[in-house]
Amino acid sequence: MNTHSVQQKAFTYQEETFSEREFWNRLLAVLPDIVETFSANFNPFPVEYLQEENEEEPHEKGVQLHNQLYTASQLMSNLASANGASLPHAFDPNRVEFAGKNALISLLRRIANLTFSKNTLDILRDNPKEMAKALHDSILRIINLPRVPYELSGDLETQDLMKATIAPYLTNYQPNRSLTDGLGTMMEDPVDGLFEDQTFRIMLSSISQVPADKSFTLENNFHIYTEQLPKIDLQGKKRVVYQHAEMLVLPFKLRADHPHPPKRPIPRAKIQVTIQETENLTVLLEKEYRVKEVFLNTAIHSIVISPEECEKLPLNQDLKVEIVFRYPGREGAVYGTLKNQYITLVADKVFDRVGATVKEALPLNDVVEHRNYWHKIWRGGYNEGLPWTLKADVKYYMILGIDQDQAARLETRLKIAEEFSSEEDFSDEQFSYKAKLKTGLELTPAMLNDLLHEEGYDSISHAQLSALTCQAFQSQMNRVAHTQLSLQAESGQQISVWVYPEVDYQEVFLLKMGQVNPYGLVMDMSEEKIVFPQAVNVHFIATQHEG
Amino acid sequence: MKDNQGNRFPDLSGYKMYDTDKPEIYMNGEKVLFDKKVRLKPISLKKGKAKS
Repeated sequence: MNTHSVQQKAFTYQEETFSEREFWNRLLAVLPDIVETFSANFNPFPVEYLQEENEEEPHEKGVQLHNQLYTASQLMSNLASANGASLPHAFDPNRVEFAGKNALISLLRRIANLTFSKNTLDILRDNPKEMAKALHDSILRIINLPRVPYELSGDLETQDLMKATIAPYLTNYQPNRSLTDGLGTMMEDPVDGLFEDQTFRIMLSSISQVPADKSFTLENNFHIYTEQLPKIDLQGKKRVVYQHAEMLVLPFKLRADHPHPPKRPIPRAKIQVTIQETENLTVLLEKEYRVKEVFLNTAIHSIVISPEECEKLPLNQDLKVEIVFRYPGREGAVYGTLKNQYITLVADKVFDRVGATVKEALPLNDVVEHRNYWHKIWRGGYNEGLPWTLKADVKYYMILGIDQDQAARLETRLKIAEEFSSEEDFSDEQFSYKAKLKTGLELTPAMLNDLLHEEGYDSISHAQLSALTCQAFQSQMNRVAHTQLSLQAESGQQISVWVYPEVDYQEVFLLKMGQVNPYGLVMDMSEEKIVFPQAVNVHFIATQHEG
Repeated sequence: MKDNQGNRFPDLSGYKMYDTDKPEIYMNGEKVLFDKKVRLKPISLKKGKAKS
């Protein structure tokens, strides 16, 4: 059965820590509820917070607004990129000096309500970190600052490039502390602390503004409306689903919040569409459309993605479509508004959910037939003339690889946390080690497909397999086994540690595309049930080699 | 190790060679010290870059 080869691969995964998830859930999952309540009872557009002009104190109000948005942007950025350990520092409501926690939530819910459709907010509520990234992205767009893909935000090469870019400006740079102290720090090490400095960040932003022809002042009197788009129940949420590799039309309306909206059309405007993947917000496609005579509350069908463009977009995952509507005002001003609408592209079938277990815990314990699933994660011994013990905190990750065709055994990372000998105690001389060890196995859907024969099931089709090669199924399949192993041996002896898995056979529900309307929108989908294996347990086996 | 199931390694969940009443078991000529079965639990992972 070993038709698949297994490569060796570096360990590159990081856990999104529990504390982070818990923290985000508490803080940001409340946003959709607040927005919903807010929308039901009030005017959905927060003119009192987001308007630029105020007859009484126009300048002060404008500055205050910009500061609030900038602070909110920084906050979202910190939250989205912070790791678990630094989170409490990254977001302590008491540190938000500009308005306090309640005002922050109020501001964020209003930005969210303005810039996300309802079903998009509902999708995001299960992933607060993604919500923060998307909100940050929207705020940057509102205040005309460039967006930075999150995959690059912590990248040292990017920071080096940015530092080289701003180097000519550094002679004029005064950090946000005393001049002597600042210069001293700069001369000792010009790298450390630069990117932590608020003044430096503001300066960086001012260097790389969004080009003037894409900038706009936020419009208070109307917003983009996409709620009329038909939705499909997919992966537990209502989603807007389009057919992949076909022409895609995304109709929307401009809706007025003003009680007496103008009846005349907007003479000319530009619609900018940016399609991004949702993990790092990498831009996949940008298009701009010119429109004339735009009436409020009338469907606009200008956003058209060609089949060739659509084919290049990824399947079976959320895509963030940002729609920016800009139009010229008096004296050269440009006004605009924006909305984010998540969509999913489907070719034929798409993963929906995992159902019940139909067969429990089949051990892949045939050392020949299942060799691809066996992993020798460690072999070692300490030849110091003394017995030795190793107490290891072990994490073994079982991962569904969806980006490559080949399975991989991940390298074993071993970190000795503590090392000591007990030579003082002659009655019990030995070396003792405490260590952390992590490694894992990247399986492929095709490799798991072959396991169906073991229990008499037919392999699933290529289309079904393709439907399972997606992030949503991957997130259901990724698992970790966390345990403590205690290894002890005499002098000169070596020990090996092997891992092999047990799999459950589970129902998996796919949805098959049904009727598609002329805009490429999928109107209905039918359910299809298959059975597919999933690793549920692993065995750690230690063997001793007489050296 | 060979047993009556051909190449199948027996389920030794919970086996510890150190327990005095346990028989010695060998795999590929090496003495099996223990077999510890651990439940795999859901985890949210993100992919980083390989360290050079």
